[in-house]
Amino acid sequence: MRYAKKRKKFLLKLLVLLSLFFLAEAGRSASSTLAGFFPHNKFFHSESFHLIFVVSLFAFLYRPIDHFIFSIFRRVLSRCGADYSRDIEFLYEESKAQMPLKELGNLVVNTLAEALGSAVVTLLVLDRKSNAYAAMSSCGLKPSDMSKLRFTDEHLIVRLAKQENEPLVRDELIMHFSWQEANVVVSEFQNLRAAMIVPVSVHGQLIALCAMGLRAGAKAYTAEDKRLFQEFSSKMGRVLGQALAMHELESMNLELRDKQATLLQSSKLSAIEQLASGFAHQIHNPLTIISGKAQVLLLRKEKMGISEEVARELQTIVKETRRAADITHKLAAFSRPRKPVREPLDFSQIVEDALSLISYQASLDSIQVIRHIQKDLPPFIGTVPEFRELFLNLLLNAVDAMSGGGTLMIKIRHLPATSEIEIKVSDSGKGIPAEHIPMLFDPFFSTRHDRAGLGLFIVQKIVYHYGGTIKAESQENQGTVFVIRLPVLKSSAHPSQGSSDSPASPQDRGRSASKEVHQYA
Amino acid sequence: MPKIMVVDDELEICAFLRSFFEERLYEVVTATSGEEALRKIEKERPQVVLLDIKMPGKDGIDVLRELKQKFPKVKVIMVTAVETSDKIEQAIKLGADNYITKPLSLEYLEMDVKDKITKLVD
Repeated sequence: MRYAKKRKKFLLKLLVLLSLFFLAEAGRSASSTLAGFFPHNKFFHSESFHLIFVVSLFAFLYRPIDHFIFSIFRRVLSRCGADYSRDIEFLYEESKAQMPLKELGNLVVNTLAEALGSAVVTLLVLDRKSNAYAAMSSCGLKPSDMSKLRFTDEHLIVRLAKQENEPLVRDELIMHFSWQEANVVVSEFQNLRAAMIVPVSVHGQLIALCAMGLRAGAKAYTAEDKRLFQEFSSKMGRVLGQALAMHELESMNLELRDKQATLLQSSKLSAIEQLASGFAHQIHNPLTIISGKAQVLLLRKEKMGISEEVARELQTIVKETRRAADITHKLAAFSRPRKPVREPLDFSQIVEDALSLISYQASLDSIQVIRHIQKDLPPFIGTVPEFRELFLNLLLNAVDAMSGGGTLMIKIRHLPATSEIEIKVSDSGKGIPAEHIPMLFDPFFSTRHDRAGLGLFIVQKIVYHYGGTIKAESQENQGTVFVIRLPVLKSSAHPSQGSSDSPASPQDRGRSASKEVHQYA
Repeated sequence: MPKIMVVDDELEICAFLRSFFEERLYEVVTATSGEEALRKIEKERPQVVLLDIKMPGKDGIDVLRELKQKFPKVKVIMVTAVETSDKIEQAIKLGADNYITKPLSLEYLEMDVKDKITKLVD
């Protein structure tokens, strides 16, 4: 393509030179004729007069001739006119292969910028939600500037593009407007650093604006260019319209999937929550009575002549009812949506909580649990429920993978080089087939019929919420490891301790006082 | 003799708490609903009330509100199974003096009741 362009330029220059040669010949005979009028003046007959005459003729006529030849060349030699017509044809052919909107946009701006030799070409595409035309691809504008470029019906260029539906050339427009409107046009064109804006429509709807800066050599756009770009616009309209529709469909689909997942998650949570709190209420009263009666009996041990052996059994009753109550307490606390309190996290406590919870559901008997949790982790600020959920999901997955027993390893350490906290949860289970790895974090992806397939999706959401990364590595029949990296923020070094939203009961407080001191020390 | 009132819709809970505190030489009054509790407090004037939060009809929070308005000096210990933190916060804002979770540790409960009564004397 570039070679063809060079050849054309060479041909053009040759033509100009040829015409200059004839001009020189004509100039020479003209100067001889002129000298004939002054037969006695020696100067008119000297060589230097001929030279001066021809050179000044050259100087005066070079530009008009160049321009004239150029326009003839365009009209005659190149079928469509301007020398970029082939580039545009090429662009159209190329874009017929269905490609994503963004890619298509980049192709359009890059091809046009190269063909025109223009410094700036920007494509603005309709965003149906806000009914605005936002800069999507640009050659020559900085991304930071692009994000500011949004045009709506309030802008004159959008109104004009809709009205005229033909290429808008800045210098033409300003001549047709009052100075006030002309000023608006100039400033809007200036924002895009454009000299011409081509509206792209499909089925009568304006879907894009293609803003182009001046051509190489600051050449203005002519009527011929307008005609060419009008053609381009109607062709591109179809292709761009198709890509835009695909893009909108895709983003709608994604949005829907996201919404569905959140809905499912919240409905799932509230169901658990209702069940748990109802369950806890139902079970706590009988437990209170069993434990209370046993405690009263213990109190009357001497009076009632209760033997030591019976007393020991009574104590076991009190202890075991407490344990049963702990389970319902934890379940309720776990499922209850809380006001998110950000606090320095005690990872070992969260891991223990999650482990004790899954022990109610899954048998950990045949599974060896190894914990490597670095003692002096830098303070990491987060909310306990989120991280409980994260660990619960990862641990449940690991336990599921090891139905025949195995080793579950939880490793948490600080990576000082990158200032990150690394969480590794690995199992020695059946592993994940390589083709499933890319879908692992998709909502509703599950190989089991009894799982909703939201666990890892939620884990990923939490990790992203904290600006971290997650990846899975797996080998079939060897096991799987999930590696999470969370950046430690500088501000976490001096956490301001928020008030705890769920005050521990006095009994709990007494029992876990030492832990709390350790946690917040 | 110190006087306490136990409010719980479960008869058996009232029963064992009564036998426990009577054993420890307290005078015990029981009520199995919020309405009954408010009626009896007027007459009995207990120093400490053990008040269950979840009850049909007037629940523990409603009783607490009225009780603290009429008799601000009476000490109230809320008894909860698994309440949400908002409920507990609400109770503390309304003037509850403490709260305790079910199943009850009677030793701890008595310590707390004793503590409230000594504060009253002070």
